Amino acid sequence: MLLKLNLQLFASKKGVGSTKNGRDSHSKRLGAKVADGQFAKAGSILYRQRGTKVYPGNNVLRGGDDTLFTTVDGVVKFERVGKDRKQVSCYPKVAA
Amino acid sequence: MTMISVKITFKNEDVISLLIQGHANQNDYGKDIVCAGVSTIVYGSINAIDKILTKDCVNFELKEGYTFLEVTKNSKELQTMLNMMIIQLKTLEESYPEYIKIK
Repeated sequence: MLLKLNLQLFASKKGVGSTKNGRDSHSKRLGAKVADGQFAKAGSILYRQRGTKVYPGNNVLRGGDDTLFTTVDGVVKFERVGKDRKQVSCYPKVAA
Repeated sequence: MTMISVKITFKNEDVISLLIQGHANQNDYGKDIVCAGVSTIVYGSINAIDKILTKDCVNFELKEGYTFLEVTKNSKELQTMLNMMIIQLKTLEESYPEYIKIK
């Protein structure tokens, strides 16, 4: 059996600095919290985001951290506005 | 030790031992090409001796930054292989004299 080659047998490990990477923030579970066509109660969160990936539509407001929430009980609708903009609305409807 | 030193011991013109130690320090660990050259010559030669000749004709110790090889059962073929190893190391020394020294 052949000896397994260690190409760095005579290399100095001195000066092998530690990497500066290896850190990451905890994931913030952003994104949609209610699906399109689903019923949502007033005040419930529809979409968590940083900035306005999705804009507030009818009966929807934007919180301080850009979270979108509904102001009425109703059915949630994700809509396209213009060429590349999205908004979420909530259309009143009594829960079935 | 800032370079690799190769110390060859002869007896009546035959090589009886080789001591290779130190660090090339030509580059960071993982990128040191002089070290890679020496390592390949050392591993290749020991594997060749082991494969081609009888197993017990040399004793050797191999660890990080250190290799010691001594002849236990001399033969013409073994001397040829050891001299080939030395010439390979000298070839490397010619190109990188500041990183490897043969004495």
